[in-house]
Amino acid sequence: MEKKKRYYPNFPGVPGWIYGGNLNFERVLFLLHRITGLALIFYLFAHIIVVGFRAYSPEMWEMVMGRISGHSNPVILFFEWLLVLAVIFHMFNGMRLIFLELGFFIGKPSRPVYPYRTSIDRQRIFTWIMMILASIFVIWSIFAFFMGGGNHA
Amino acid sequence: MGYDMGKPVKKVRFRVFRYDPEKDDRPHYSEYTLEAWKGMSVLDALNEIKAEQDPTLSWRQSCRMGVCGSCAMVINGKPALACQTQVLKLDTDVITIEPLKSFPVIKDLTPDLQNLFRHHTHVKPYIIRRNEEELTEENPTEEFLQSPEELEAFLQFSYCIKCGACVSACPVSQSDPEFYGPQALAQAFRYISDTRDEGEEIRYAIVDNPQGCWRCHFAQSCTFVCPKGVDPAMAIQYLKRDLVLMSVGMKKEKKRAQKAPLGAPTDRVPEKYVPPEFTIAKPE
Repeated sequence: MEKKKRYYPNFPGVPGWIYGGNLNFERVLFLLHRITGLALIFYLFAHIIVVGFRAYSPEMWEMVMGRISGHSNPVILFFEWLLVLAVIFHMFNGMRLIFLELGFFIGKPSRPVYPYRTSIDRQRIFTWIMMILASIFVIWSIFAFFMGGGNHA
Repeated sequence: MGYDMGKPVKKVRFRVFRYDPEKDDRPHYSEYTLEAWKGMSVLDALNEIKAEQDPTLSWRQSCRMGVCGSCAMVINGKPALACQTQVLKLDTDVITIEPLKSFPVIKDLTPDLQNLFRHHTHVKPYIIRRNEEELTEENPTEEFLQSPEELEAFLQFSYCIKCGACVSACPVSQSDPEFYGPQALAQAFRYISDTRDEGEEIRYAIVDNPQGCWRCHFAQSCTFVCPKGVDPAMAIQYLKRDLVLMSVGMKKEKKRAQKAPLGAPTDRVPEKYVPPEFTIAKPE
């Protein structure tokens, strides 16, 4: 019996974002942008549910906040800090993408002469500036969360 | 033995992706060990393996000098042309060779590129004129004038050799086969920015959809791997910019190529024309 010929579907799918190879810096940022974006959407739903407890009664609200607020539980404080990291990264990378996808800082088409100078090289400085700004906010968030620098009572 | 072009430098192990549709259900890897010599490309290594160790190995190749775009494959995780990748410059003892990702594998290292060309033809990669007779005239009386600056606006994108490395590298193409892909979108921009072309409205309408240029999330992997410096990521961002400017009514009128009667080309060279300077990279 002759075996039927078929092609191997060499299709990485969503896991290919991670193991698909050639992880250049911008591709890592793309991956982090997706992950933090999903995390923020899930947080939004959880946030609506938690805040929804206020609709029942003030006592209910006090009870819920007493259990899951970062003031009472250091583990939840840590997760809240991770959430702030996600917001900071998503914000600055999003601003970077708005500028770059509207054609700023990526240069004009030019004669390709080896060694090629591409939009990756041209936008690198801008990307680093945005990431440094983001890391300043990350350092601030460490002070605010864990060293009492913020308005935590 | 037609391969002894240099002295052997070191032994290199090649892990090669194997899949035979008539025998295998799942792909596996075969290992071969070769003496690498200075100047040996991965394509040379594959030829040497096929000649001396395993005649069943198959891949696609033609020009072996980075012009035809047949031999693109994933080498150590990065899509590249096998003929342009030096074995010794990879600087590893084990070299993993796989077919391009996101394309079905016909056999071993041979991908089926139909999806690439389907998207490529979809964006109408040719000059469109309102008066079609201009393109079909047998005895033309006029020709288009194009300055060097107007040429450089699209020259970079016309260097595409359709090897499929950018589509293989693109994370969006890896998860969505209906995304047009960096190659097709770069070609759409190449013809839109050509002053001879008059079909930009048709092409903007084609790429302005969720599977078109808005699917690009700017991971820039396409530009990172392109062997010809085509920079598809830049082309896609300019497509988006044009579409945004059009939607708010701020898009400038496109410059059209002038037509001139046929004549000796030297008559029309501007007096101030200075040829562009080239810097030629020195071989290491």
